[in-house]
Amino acid sequence: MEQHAAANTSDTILQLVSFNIGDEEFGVDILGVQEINRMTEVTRVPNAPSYVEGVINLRGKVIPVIDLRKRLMMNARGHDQDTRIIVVEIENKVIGFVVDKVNEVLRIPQSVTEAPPSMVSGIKSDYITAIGKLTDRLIILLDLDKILSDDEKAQISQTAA
Amino acid sequence: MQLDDDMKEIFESFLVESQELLDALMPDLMQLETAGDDMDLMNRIFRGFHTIKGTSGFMGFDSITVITHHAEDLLNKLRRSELTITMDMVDVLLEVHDWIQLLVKNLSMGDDSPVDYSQTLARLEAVINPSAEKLSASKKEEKPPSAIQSVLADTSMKGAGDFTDEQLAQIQAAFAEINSEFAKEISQESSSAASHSALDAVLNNTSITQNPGDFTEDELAMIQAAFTEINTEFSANQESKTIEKPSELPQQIVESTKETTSVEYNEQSKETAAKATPVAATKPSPQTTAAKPAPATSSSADATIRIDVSRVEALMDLSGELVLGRNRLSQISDRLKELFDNEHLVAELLETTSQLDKITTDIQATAMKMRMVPIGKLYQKSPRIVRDLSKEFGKEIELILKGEDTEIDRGIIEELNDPLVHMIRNSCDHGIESPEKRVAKGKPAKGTITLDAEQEGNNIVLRISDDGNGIDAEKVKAKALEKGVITAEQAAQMSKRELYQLIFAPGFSTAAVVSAVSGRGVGMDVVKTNIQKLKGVIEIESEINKGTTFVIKLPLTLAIIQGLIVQVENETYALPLSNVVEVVALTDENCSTINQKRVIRIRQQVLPLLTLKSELNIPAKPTPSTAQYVVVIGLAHQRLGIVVDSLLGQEEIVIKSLGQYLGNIPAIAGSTILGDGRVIMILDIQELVDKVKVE
Repeated sequence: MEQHAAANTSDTILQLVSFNIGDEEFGVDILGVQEINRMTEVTRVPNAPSYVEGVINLRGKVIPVIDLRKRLMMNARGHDQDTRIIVVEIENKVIGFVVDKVNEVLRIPQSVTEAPPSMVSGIKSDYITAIGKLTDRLIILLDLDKILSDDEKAQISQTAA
Repeated sequence: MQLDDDMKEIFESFLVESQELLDALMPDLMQLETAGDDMDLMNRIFRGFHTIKGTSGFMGFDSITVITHHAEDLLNKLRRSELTITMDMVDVLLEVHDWIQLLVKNLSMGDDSPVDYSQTLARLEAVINPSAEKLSASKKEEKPPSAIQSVLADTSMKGAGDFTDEQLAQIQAAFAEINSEFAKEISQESSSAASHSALDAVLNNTSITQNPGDFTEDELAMIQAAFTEINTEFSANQESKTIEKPSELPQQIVESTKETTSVEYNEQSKETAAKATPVAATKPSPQTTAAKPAPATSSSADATIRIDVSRVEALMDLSGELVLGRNRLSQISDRLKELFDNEHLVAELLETTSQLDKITTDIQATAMKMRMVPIGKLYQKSPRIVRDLSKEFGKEIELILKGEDTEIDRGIIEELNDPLVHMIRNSCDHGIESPEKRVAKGKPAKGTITLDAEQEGNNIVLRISDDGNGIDAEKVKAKALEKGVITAEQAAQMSKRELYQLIFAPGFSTAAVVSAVSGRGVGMDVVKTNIQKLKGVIEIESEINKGTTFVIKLPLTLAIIQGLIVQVENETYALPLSNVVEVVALTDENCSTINQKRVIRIRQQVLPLLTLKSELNIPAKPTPSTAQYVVVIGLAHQRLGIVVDSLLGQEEIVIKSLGQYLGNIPAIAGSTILGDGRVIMILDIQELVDKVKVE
């Protein structure tokens, strides 16, 4: 991917962690990512929203894990040996996201990204910050913060109902 | 109220100190009624008020200073035996105590507006028979030591360069005052000459240094030294005077130089040729005076330090983590032992682990103890309540306090305050009968209320008992029917125990007349709500004409709990053991259905059943296991049976919240990590009980 970075040196470089859910490739800002773990034993949390996979023991801390597949309204699928938990820290909240496969760390210049179209494969465009156009593929840049804050709103309206 | 950082610190310690003094004063004031001639007691009370006056004066909270000053006038007369203690005096002193309490509370909430206590002042005036001349004399004489001490307190508290303009002015004023006092005395007392010159030097020094923040460490040290000297001189001065006329006075050794004020007063009493009073012959010890200018309780002051609660909390958290690590380690060791039983190294590991186990348990216990306070702190208010109420109702009530040393988490104490007040009121009002009635029943005219606390395992058991009326179950039933709390059908089925519990229903009261104290049916509701919040259990034992006992069972602490680990299908859950009443096997015989709801019959009691599997939507295993046990849980007065597959054991668990993101999950109180590293959910007893009630 180095050729992209070299294309325009004055451009801002975005550093992303890229991962797959199904056939689609996503990217999140590397600064928010704390670590990437293999799938471990997840304890189900009864009465939690369906996209909450459960909680895990992260070195003595209990953190919630969200099934990103379910959260993005994609068809459910079992876990396999490629399944990973991306642990992110957003506004002091540590949360894990279950993804199908983690690919690589990408450096892409801002100039190859563009604003998202109104709808991308059924995902609400609110969660998408941009689309990265690489020579051979497209990467959907996700805003995990937005996903979480939307969850909270959803939960609040749930309890109010 | 605007305070800069330095002042804020002083202000906060003022609040803490005042509260401590007020707390210490309350039992002393109560005692005053019966032991009014106890000079130690009188002096202690006087010192308490005096310290409050001094510090509040320094802080500039005039409302407190004025009322304390007037109380001091009364106490002064009492100390000099010019007046003898009466009920009215105790009443008015208690009133003063209440006002100070209110003012301190207001201040702690940032409200320093004055309150109107003129009536109390008038009452004070009425009980004092003032002689203007003496009064003014006493005021004048009393100033130097208090000024010295408050300045001493300040200088020893501060580092160089911390003074504000205002404080500087105050210190200067204090100096000037002391200086003029000494100037008056200097002709008679040559010994004061030295300190007078020292004072002059300091006075010059402070007036030169107009700029706040200009003090160097040296100068500060000098000022302190000067003060210490003055203080010593002062005490020595007093002592020499005392020795001059020893025959008149019994001597008494008192703890420290902070007694200078009391010496001062006794001195005066001697001069006015009043009755002989014990005098404190103080050994001047300048250093202790400088170090702790006005400690509230002298004997225990050295053995205790004040620690920020957040630090203790952090230690608690860490020791919680340590417990988890320990649990994990011992499980791994056990597995190693299974694998390599004959290995010498494994034996050593096991030995080390068990040692670590012991130390961890001790650390945890010690950390927990740091948060513990004796339950006696909770009792403090009760003698006053009983006293006031027995007066109001015209009843004779004796209060017996037991187990004051039993320790309990301070968070729990705070939550217990209100329930205890309500329960004591309840016992005074509904429990204890009037003296005539009691005599007619063949009981002593004086009723007894007993508060008793003791530790039972990991629980604190608090008993509030009276030897009064007892609860008439039939009367409760009739009242509950009348108020529509229960239906006639329900009433017919209820056991005596269940009927007692109706008194916890909001709006329920058996009192025929609503008095100022009780009868509105709020009190017992408060009791129930707070006990529930603390995850406690409450039981009532009562016998007509013999009395009633409320038994409150509470967990020792809220951070680390004993958990009962249960299994349902493939999932594991923890229940707080303190809420587990008993466990019974589920059979076809004891289980039945009422109104399509499953219930269990245990010894005459019918309890609703809740099946965890359906409640928590637990997925069934391919070969479903059969529910075998019913865990009976109790919360405050309510009981409920929970159906589980099997019991895995008991473990010490550290409650971990599920975090901000998941927030409040229904029926789940939090999570914990087991020794094997697995995360399990802790069930929320409160929500499960509520759930059943709603259904």
